[in-house]
Amino acid sequence: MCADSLLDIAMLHADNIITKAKEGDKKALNQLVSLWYKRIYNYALKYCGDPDTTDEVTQQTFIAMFRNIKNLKDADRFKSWLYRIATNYCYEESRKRQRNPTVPLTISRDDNESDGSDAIEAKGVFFNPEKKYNQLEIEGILLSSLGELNEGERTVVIMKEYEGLKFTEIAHVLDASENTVKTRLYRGLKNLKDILERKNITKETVHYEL
Amino acid sequence: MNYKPDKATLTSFIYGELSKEEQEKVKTYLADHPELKKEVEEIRSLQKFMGGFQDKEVVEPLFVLDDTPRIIVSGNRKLDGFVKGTLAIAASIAVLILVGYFTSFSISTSAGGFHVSFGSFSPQEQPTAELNEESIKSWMQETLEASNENLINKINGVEYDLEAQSRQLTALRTVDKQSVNKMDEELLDSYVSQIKQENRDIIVNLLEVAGRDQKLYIDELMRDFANYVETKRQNDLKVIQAHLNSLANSGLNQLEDLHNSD
Repeated sequence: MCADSLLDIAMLHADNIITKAKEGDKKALNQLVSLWYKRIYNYALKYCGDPDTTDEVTQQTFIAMFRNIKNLKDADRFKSWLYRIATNYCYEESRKRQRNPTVPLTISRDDNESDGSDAIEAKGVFFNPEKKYNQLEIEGILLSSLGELNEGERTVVIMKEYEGLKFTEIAHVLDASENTVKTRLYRGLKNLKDILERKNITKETVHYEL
Repeated sequence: MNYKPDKATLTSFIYGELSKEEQEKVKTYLADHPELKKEVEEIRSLQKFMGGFQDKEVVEPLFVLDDTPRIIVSGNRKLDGFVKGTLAIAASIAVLILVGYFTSFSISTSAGGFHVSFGSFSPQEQPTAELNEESIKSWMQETLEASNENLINKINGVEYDLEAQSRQLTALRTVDKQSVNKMDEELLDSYVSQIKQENRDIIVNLLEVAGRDQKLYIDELMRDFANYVETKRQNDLKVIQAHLNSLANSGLNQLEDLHNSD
């Protein structure tokens, strides 16, 4: 899903940077942040559902990366390792939130700011506000529905569907077998489908086949 | 035939990761089990639906890397807060002025005391809440100017951030130039062009959002004004209708009186 930009290409060829980062090279560490910040942020956003928690999780993940990268044994496992850190913080923040539910007093910056798709659409003459509205509505429904899945299913669904991780990589992140990951993914997708159906989101009601 | 694909196999089937032979076995099984086939098809449709959730753009904060790595809240966030706060205050004042204007809110003192009123205080005077074209034009001009000023502030903020980033990148390029090997140089170039693209997108995005907000605001303004005119027209019509009815009644009474006197 994400191997389409310069950033993504750089992510795939970052072995040299990881090696330098392991040696404490600050420039390399900053390069890793630049390469991975957006991915981890979007992963956490889909897991946590709200921008404030997402900011928190993403920042904690990279601070943990700075502190512990020297202990990373295999540079090839960097991706799984980073997602594992992010996943642990997602779980932790999510549980904290369940124990102490809060209501934000202000609208978060990210609630109002539009994403990059605005910029893309704005380039065209035929900017369609209705389409944009539908897009935001779909995103809202998906976020809340993902939030209804259990921890394990939600993690696997997001990692596979949005982060494009291979089954082996997800298995490394979760310290589980590939078969377990696949079974959990099937259950997660089926449950997500059922949740959406309860919200009257089906193939017939939403024309998402286009 | 006792073959029954488990969930893991079905997942591999959905993601096209089965061997050709195994794929055929699953297909055959699904053909004999329409319920399961429907479920698999629905999951595939769900994947398309999920594809509608696009990544959010995000600017990473500045990390300070020393013995205790930490984050500096990036300048633009503070600026955002400041601009948002200023805008909120300006918007509140504008709303108060608008409400005051439309409701003819007035505070006055006289021999009779201190008066806070909506509309004209004098009972003899008819409300004169008429808007002429000139006043609306000047009012709209003021609103647009205020909005443009806000937009310029936002753009200045973004420019400030861009300059900061540019300075940071220049510094990054100059520091330790000897030790940077060719691969790093290429990576850095691609990174710089990526950042430039993202910055350009941010500005385009900002202009688009500001323009859209302005358009929505003007639309809303015109709609409110149209509603106001329509309500006023309806009220005037009712008054005219009441006068006509009263005139008709008095005419009928006069005719009746004449008839009785005859």
